[in-house]
Amino acid sequence: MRNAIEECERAGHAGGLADGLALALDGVDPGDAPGGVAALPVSAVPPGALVIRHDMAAAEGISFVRPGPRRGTPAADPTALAARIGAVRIGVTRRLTAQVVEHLSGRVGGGEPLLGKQLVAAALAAADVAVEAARRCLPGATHPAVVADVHDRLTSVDWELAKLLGASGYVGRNPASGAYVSRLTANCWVPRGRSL
Amino acid sequence: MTRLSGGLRDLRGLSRDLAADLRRDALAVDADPFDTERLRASGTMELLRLMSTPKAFRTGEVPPCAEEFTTSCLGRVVANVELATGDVGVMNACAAPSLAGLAVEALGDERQQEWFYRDLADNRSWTFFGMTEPARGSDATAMLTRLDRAPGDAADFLLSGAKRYVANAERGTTGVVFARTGPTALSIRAVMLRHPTPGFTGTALPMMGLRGACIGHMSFDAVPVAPDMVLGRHLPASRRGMWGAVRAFNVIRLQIGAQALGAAYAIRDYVCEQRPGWAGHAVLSARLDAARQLVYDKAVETDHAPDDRRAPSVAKLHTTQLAVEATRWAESALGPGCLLDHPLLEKWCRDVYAFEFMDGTSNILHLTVAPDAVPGGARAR
Ligand SMILES: Cc1cc2nc3c(=O)[nH]c(=O)nc-3n(C[C@H](O)[C@H](O)[C@H](O)COP(=O)(O)OP(=O)(O)OC[C@H]3O[C@@H](n4cnc5c(N)ncnc54)[C@H](O)[C@@H]3O)c2cc1C
Repeated sequence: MRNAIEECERAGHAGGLADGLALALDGVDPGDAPGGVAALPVSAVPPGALVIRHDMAAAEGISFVRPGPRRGTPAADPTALAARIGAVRIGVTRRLTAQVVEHLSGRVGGGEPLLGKQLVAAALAAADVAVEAARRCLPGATHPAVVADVHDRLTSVDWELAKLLGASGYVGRNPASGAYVSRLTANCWVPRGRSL
Repeated sequence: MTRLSGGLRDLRGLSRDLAADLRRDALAVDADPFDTERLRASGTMELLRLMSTPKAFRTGEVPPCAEEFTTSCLGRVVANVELATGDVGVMNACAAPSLAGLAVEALGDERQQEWFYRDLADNRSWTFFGMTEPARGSDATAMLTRLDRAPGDAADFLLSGAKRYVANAERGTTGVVFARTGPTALSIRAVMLRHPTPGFTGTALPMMGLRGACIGHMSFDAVPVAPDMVLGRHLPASRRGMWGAVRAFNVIRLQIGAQALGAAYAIRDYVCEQRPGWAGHAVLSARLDAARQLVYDKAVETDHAPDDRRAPSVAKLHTTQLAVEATRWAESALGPGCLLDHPLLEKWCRDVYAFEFMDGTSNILHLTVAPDAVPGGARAR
């Protein structure tokens, strides 16, 4: 489990959401998506599948499909799968952090780099702490609510980081849109609330 | 605690009715915000344009209760909360005077106001307000765009530089652009511009959400500006540029706060429709109602002290965060796949993020509020 989690974080960090998701979903039937909508790497969409159009997701290499009711018994342990996807998201969050730092080191406010502003530094530090803490919740997590909580915290961290991009994170394809698609991906695969 | 007059309650009711019309176009505007025919054909959008135009410059009738939209912050806020329960993306597609209009009211002389509003009435068009630049966002006083005297004996000025993330950058036909004439913050001036004008190009940028706002990039390559298009010449030097525009910012900050709150109500109501009889909204509902009270109170404070930056900042800070939280609440209330099953909800998740950046990010607003939060600290007024 620990290795799978670490591998997923590594893949999400090195290659981004679609690469990480491909690894996390290895061997998973799209029909196992708890809400009936599966987020898949574009390359894994079965021929003829019903795809829900989402341009931002497509730009990140992700498709949302309605696989239809699965036949047979579910093969995947939904909590373990959600944990792997959580690890992928941590990798994506770390990518976002690096991109935020790069963006801010080139911007100036009040005559000094924005990266040097205390509120900015505090936000980056808070994201760092949150990632460290989230990472330690995933290996061995057996309760779906624990994993759902990690995903909620990652959604929150991603938004705090996206804020640091200013409006540049609100237009075109950018690191914040990748983080948003990561949230949508979690929305498809994380069992919670009425699905439990 | 603010209590609404009969007139304001009527305005609230009218706005609620209009919200239903806005909702109808929500997904269509998100999919194609540049379908201007759809927007021009909408009677509701036309009424909103008239409501947000000062009475002296209106070209059509509005119901009597709508007067308060332009005469008080409270009126504007009451209407905006309700309208935003329809759809914030469509609201932001309205061809209204908006921030440019408020800037012209604050900085323009009578003739300039007449010119601006006459132009809007003739074209029923969108306005732009160019402040943010590619390399200068929150620190707007460090803007690089220049307003220089044209060479030789010409009385004209030349505008050179670029603005970014400006609403209606491409489709707006009249607006206000800020530029500097010298090195200090006091040398910043606002000019009125028409689009098209030689040397002035506007290009739209694809947006994550709130797509009706149609933000984009504007560039100015020695654009000629006649002296009578420079705002604030009749005002004392300290009131001509940025500082004179603070009132306009305050009003819009409250308006954005009200829209964020309205969006949060829309999300709450949508979830409740999906789960009839469910009591899981009680905490959020209580927070929304309290936030409505907060926004009303801050609007009244701003009506009494229009230059006070704290009150609008408090309102906007709270509601922009609350709206984001409402989307997360909705996600957990409706369960897996809900954001793909409910495109409106997914759209609102993208829309509400925009409020963070409009008219002051949360960091900047925290810095505005901070001096009051520290005992003995200097007021931010
Ligand atoms: C939907 C939308 C509509 C808009 N409409 C307009 C418009 O009509 N006209 C217009 O001129 N602009 C408009 N804007 C742009 C908006 O005003 C800017 O995005 C905003 O001022 C922030 O600037 P920035 O994006 O360059 O971020 P930056 O200023 O580069 O900020 C990046 C990050 O650094 C933080 N930061 C900056 N300075 C400090 C500091 N001193 N201390 C601590 N943290 C700091 C910010 O909070 C942010 O998190 C719009 C933006 C959006 C998204």
